Formats: sequence, C-alpha cells, structure tokens
Amino acid sequence: MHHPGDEMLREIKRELLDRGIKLRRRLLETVERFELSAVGSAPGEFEAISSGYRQLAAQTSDLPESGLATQMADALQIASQLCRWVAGVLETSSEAPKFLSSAQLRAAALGQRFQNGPPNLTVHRLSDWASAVESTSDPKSVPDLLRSLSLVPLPVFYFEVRDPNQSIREELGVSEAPSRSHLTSSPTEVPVVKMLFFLDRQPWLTPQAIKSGVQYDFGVQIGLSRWPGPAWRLEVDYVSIADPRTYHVTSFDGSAEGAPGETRQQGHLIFYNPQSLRSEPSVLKVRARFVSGDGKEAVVPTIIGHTELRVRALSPESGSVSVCF
Amino acid sequence: MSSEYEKFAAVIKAKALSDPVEAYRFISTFSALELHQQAAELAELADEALPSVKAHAWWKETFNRAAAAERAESLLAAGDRTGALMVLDDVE
Repeated sequence: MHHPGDEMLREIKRELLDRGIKLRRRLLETVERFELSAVGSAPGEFEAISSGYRQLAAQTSDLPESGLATQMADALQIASQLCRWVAGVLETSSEAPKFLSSAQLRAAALGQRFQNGPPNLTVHRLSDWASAVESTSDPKSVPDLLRSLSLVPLPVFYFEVRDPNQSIREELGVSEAPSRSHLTSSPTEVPVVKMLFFLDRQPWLTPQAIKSGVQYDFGVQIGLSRWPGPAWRLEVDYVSIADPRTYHVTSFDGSAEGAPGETRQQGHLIFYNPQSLRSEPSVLKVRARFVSGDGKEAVVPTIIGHTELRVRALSPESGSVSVCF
Repeated sequence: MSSEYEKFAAVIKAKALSDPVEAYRFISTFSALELHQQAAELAELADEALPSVKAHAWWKETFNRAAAAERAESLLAAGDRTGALMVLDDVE
C-alpha cells in the first residue's frame, strides 16, 4: 500500500534473506514431525513461525511480499488452531469445537481477502487451503491440511523497507513512527465476527420482504474468532440513510464473560410505512464494534455473513407475502 | 521466453562483477513474478561469475543463499517438500 508523501527506501538485507530461509525450513520440519497421535508442541511452533512471518511483513511493508507474508502468518495461526482442535479431540476436551470454529472463522476471513487479490500461485493455493479448512470436520484431515500449507510457495525476501524520515524523528525526540497497524488496525489482528440474522426464526433473505406495521421476531446468531480482552463487550447496530423514525430494529450486545462462544439473541423488527412498488429496498448496514471495559478503547471487527440487511416493506394489504421477496 | 531469459542471463553474468546490486535486483524481480526456478538459476550464474576472493565473498554468499531459497520455493511449487528441505539444509 503506498501512502502519498511516505516514500520508503529499499535496502538490501541479507539477514532478511537468512530469516526467510530459516522460517521456511522450520515450517517444513514442523510439518514433517507432526503426528496426529502426538500433537505436542506443534500449536506453539506454528504460532512462533507465524510471528516470524509477521515480523518479516513489518520489515518489508509496502512491498508486495509483505502482504503475502502477512497472509502466510494468518494461515499459520489457523494451522495452530487446527492442531489445538486435534489435541482437544484426543483429550476429549469440551473446548475442542471452539478451536475448530475459530480456525474456520479465520479461514473464512482469509478467503475473503483473496477475492480481489492478485491471481498468482501463492494466493491461489492459500485460497484453496482456506476453503479446505472451512469445509473440514474430520481431525484426520489435519496432517494433509498442514502438508498442503507447507507447499504454498512464498516470495523470497530480498529487501528491507526503511523509512527515510526515521533520522528526522530521532532528532525531534520521537523514538518510533506510529505503526500502521496501530493507526488502521491491521487485518491480521482484527477479530472476525460471523453474524447470521433470522426473521421469525427463519434465515434472513436478501432482500427480505415484510409487511409494514407488523412486528416480527428478529434474531441473530453471533460467532467470534476471539475477544480483544476479558472485559470487552460487543455492540451491534445498524446504519441507514432511511429515516430512523420509520423503523425499529433491535440492537444487540454481548460481553466476553457472558458469551464466550457462539451466541443467539432475540429482538424485534418493525417498519412502520410501506414502500412504493418501484422503490429500491431499504438497506441497513450492519455495524459492530468491541468496546473495552472502561469505554476508552474500541476495535472494529471484520464482519462476515450478513453484513447488511435489505428490507422491502410492503403494504399490510399485500396478500400472503410473508418473508420472501 | 527462452530468448528473453537468455538475455537476462547474459546481463546477470556481465553485471555480477561490476554491479552486483543490479544483478540482485534482477533476481528479486524474477522471484516477485513467481519465476523461482529462473531466479535460482540467475542467482547461481551470479555466484559463478564472481571470483572466489575475499573481496567478493559477501556477494558470493548472498547469491548462493538466494539460489537456495529460490530453488526451495520452486521445488515446493512442484510439490517436492523433501527436496526443498534438503536444499535448505545445505545452505546452513
């Protein structure tokens, strides 16, 4: 990503090349050693390799290889969750399904990022891998998944990107530039929230036809990749250009203590006025954010599933049209 | 592609001694295009083009490692995990 007025210098750095080689070898060795019956240190090992690729991404920021290193780091975190799932299944732990659910949520988010990515072999293989993780339900498939991840080719890291303004900041007494992840929330650190809405206990349709003036049961099923912290809460509401006096849709919230895994919540939905037949459906953009316990910090998660609600409010006299349009 | 590649190979051989930075950039460009096998061959050419003297030791070592890293990626792209691991074991 190029930022105007933010020229970076490429510098040849053999240490970067060496670290890339070491990480690649460590990944191959970890996959070679992995055994279904003895997961052992594999989750921690994948975490450590993921962290290594994240550091490489930070040192090569603004270069194409940085993005691919970040995506590999994310995939390795998913691999770690898959190993924890296998370990949980072997130990008959009740926590095991949560690890699979977390891995699949992250894989869905990773897959979404590839939709507009460059059509190269790395992206293609990572995309296929993310799809395979999403559809897996058998712990015995994990060794194959790990092996196929290790076969994703990666760029070789030749250059470090240096900020030419670093010396100026040092002179001014500013020790470090604010990291971009801090300013814009790097997607790798952003929690993923899966939201599925229901109307009168039926899955939400797009667009969803309803009768105006009728109050419907409105529910949501929320799944999270992780909470930012133990005391954080999740707030879900909607943004629309429609006049807020013409409708009411229940906003939802939940806390880490009260809802550690997947939760369901119930509320109501009502649109007071019918639309003209030729008008476009109303659009309610679904908005979610995590807020810290003291209310001073907020994190905007990536939403997958129903990211917007399209509603066509029909006249109450419009016959038997119920929920489908 | 082959005649174009031969031109690049000739440039690498000529540049490795006088301008190794340019040769390094050429190799990195091939790598960025996922042409790992060609990048490995070019890095080997650059390594061979440099005499084994102390003044060129750093660049020779750098091209040697680049060749190994590229060779490993090309083997992995072809599905050969064992071969890739052997190449990387040799580099250290």
